[in-house]
Amino acid sequence: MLRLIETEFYKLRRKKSVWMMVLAAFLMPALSVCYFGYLGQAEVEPAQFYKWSAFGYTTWIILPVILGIFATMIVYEEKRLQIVRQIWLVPVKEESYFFSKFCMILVLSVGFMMLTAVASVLCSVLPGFVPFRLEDMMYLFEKCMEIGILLAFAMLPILALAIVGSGYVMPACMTVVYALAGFFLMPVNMYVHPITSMGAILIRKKDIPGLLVTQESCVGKAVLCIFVWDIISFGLVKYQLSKRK
Amino acid sequence: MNWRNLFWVECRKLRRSKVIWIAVAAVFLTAGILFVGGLEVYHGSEVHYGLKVMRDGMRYLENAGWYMDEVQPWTFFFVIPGMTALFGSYLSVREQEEDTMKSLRLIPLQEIDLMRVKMILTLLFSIGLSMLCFGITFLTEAVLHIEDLSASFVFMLWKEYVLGGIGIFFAVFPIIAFAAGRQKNCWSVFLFTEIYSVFGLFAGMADRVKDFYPITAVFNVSGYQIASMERRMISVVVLLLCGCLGIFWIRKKCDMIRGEKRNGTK
Repeated sequence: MLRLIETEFYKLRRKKSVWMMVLAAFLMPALSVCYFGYLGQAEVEPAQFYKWSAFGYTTWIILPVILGIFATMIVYEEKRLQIVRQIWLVPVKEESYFFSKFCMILVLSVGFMMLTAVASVLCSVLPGFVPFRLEDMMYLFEKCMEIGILLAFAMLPILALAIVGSGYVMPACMTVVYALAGFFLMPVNMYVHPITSMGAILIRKKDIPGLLVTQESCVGKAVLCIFVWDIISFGLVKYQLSKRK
Repeated sequence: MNWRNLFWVECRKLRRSKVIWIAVAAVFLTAGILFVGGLEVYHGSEVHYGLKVMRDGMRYLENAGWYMDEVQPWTFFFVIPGMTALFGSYLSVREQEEDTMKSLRLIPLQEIDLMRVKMILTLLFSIGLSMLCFGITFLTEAVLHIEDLSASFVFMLWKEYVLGGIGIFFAVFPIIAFAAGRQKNCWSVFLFTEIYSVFGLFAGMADRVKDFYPITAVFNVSGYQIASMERRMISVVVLLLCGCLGIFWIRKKCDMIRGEKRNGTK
């Protein structure tokens, strides 16, 4: 299993587009500086600044889209170059293949959020919007770590779609719809979609301002929702791959 | 080969691809998600914007025109630009990827004609997707409250959708043309277009920037955003410049191929 993950890392070295994806981590922190600078605010509430730079569009739109495209890319490129046949010849188990891909998504997701957190700290402290306080930074890093881990689990259905399907258009298009669904279903029902369930877990302490919710946060229901979607995704992949092999 | 034949060939090639059906499914799903979002009750003061009205204590969907209006920004920001860029780059890169370009050159075929047809198809695809959005939202509104929809209101929204579809193509045309010239893969194009669209959300917050940023300029041109004639003209010029930039890159790519061919025969 560890060798598989190591191989995945070796394969990624040749892909320049991954670096472009990682660069997107600086997008929202930089835009937050422009936004608060444009408003002319001398001092901003740390949670308010971090909501803009890390817990807003980054969490709901940018990172889900990036993870979806990344998942599609790592799976489709192997199919296109017919490396996947060689992988089955080794032989590699379906579960190992699925989890090695998931590990890559998890690493990218956590790495991306950590970079966003570092960029947010730099963009908030250096221009003087937020005073340098350790507890605020701990809060930001803790939340970013949570988002990174939870979002990787929430994006498993897209990974499953990429593995099960033959092309790349379907999972790429579904990534956008899936991310938008998370954005829109948040005020309607938080426990039907993995991304909104991630939101329910994030706001359990009610420490992220400005999120529009109409239900009480229940961590158990949210975890159950993500778990059910992931189990279905895994089952689908296992069934399809065993049939194909 | 004349234009009509090229167009026919491209359409025949698309029959085998699922890209159109997947894009249609994505539009339906987005419209469905927004429908679910519209079941929420609106609380706040009564809002009048053009012919559109929002009333306190009613579900968003119960306000005539809300659904047709709300689907526009979400699809024009997140769905249609990405799909159009993906479709355009898919059309232009697939000849190289599937190695059919060599056979096409033997016909012989002018690359510029081929690219022209592909870009016209992409424009039609963009308009088609926005028309599909209009169709879905109009039918939903008609089922919900046909008596509240006036002909002028429906025509205004139809115009917004058509101009939006054309505008989105112009806004993403430079990306497609650049990707075609550099033989970039579809991932990079799709991802870059999505980031470019997200930037539009921020450009929309700054009063002057939104006239110049291509994605938000589309809303000025379509009439979704109520803007003065001067601002609308600025946005039209910006989108035309995007078109010129796209044409420049496409021509550059075709000249490069022609140069390669000439060097090859020497």
